[in-house]
Amino acid sequence: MELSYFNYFQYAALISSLIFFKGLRRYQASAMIPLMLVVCIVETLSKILKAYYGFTNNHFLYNIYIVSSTPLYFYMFYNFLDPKGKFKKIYVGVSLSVTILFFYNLFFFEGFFRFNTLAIIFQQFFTTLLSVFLLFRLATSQAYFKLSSHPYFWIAAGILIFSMGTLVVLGLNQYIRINNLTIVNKSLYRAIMPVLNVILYSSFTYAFYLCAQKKKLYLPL
Amino acid sequence: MRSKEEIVFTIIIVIVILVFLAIMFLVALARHNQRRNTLVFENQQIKKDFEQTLLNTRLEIQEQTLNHISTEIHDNIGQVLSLARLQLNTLSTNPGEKDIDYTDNLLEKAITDLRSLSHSLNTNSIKEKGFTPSVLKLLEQFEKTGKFKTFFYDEINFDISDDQGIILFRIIQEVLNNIVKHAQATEIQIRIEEIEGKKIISIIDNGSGFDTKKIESINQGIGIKNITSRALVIGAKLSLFSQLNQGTTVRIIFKNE
Repeated sequence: MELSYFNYFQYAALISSLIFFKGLRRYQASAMIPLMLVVCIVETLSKILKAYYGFTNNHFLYNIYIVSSTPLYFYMFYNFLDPKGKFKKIYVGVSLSVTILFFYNLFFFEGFFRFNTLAIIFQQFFTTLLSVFLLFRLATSQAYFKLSSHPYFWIAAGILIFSMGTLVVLGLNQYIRINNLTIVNKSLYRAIMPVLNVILYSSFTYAFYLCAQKKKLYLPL
Repeated sequence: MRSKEEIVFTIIIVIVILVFLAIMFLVALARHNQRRNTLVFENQQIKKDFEQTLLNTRLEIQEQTLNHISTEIHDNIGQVLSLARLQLNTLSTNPGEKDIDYTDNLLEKAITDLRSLSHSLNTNSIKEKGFTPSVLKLLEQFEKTGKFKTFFYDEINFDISDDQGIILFRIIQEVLNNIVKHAQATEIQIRIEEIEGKKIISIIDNGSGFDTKKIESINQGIGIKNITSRALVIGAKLSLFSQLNQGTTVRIIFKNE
């Protein structure tokens, strides 16, 4: 079984989330641990199934990742943003509706064995929106702190950059596969996704490290 | 039909542009945060300076009050009571009405002075009475010495916050002390007026005056610097007009609101 280089960054993020567990809890970012677990389990299972059982289609695994990571992302941003009043109701309503729709899409629309393009585009759209919202709240808060020293900044920044890149690649996933679009003899998907994954999980790892720092910074509550 | 290379190139360009925009957005936020931090830091510093000045001013007023009490007890109440005691010792077994009245008047004066002293013990008087009544009281104390005639004009019903009032009161107190020490004046005038939208407090004396150019070289310069920095803390600036034998005018000018 051969691991890709970006897999090591995913494992590093998982390990650091476990090591800095207390810091993550302090910053209400505990949802990152199950999220990292889901990422690593899906990636590892995908490699095992391909290497030892000859699976050529592992889309069902990534579809499971999409439906399981979506509520985790929503929960994580819920803790970060701490919505109040009307916004809280809207947030919970939208989160539940989107999660239910993703499950419906998995079982009754796009299906289990076809890559759920619609779901991933919507997931990227919502995580981008929430990241931008979180970054705005951090940047406009009245507290005195350096933005780049705040773990939320690195989590939101990683997600934002990743989403910007993947929106196109994952949205055109079927098109890229059918037309066999390649760059330097590699599928476009396989060439771009690892780079974006490295950016995402490096920023997560750094954010987890910042969570463990003793000085607690302003939380946008 | 476009070639595959063209499509791949377009997709990559779109991704690069999107990622670049995201990075630019993050950089813009970080810069905004840096600017805001500088502003927050400056505001905190101003607040800290204001609190420090306020604390110093309160301590100085307290010290001034204690000095005043000490002087009053020693020079006034003490003297009156000693005189009353002397009077009682010299009284015969059947004192006349005149002697009793005299002693009674002495004791009444001592009681009045003590009452007045107990009022001045309250260092929060500016907060309780307000700025203008406190200034009037201060002028009354100067008038009581018999050395000065004092005048007070408030054309605008001047109002100021308690904390700023304490600092402004201390500035006026310092200026008046300087008049007593150095000016050889017989008249002191305090005017509060509004000129071209600016509130101005003028403290005018008819004393010996001085050469303002030489002020830097003598000890008085330090006092003026203290007053100037205090004025800055409450958002005002200080200006000084003086000529030899022409008296002195100190103006505290508040910035436009």
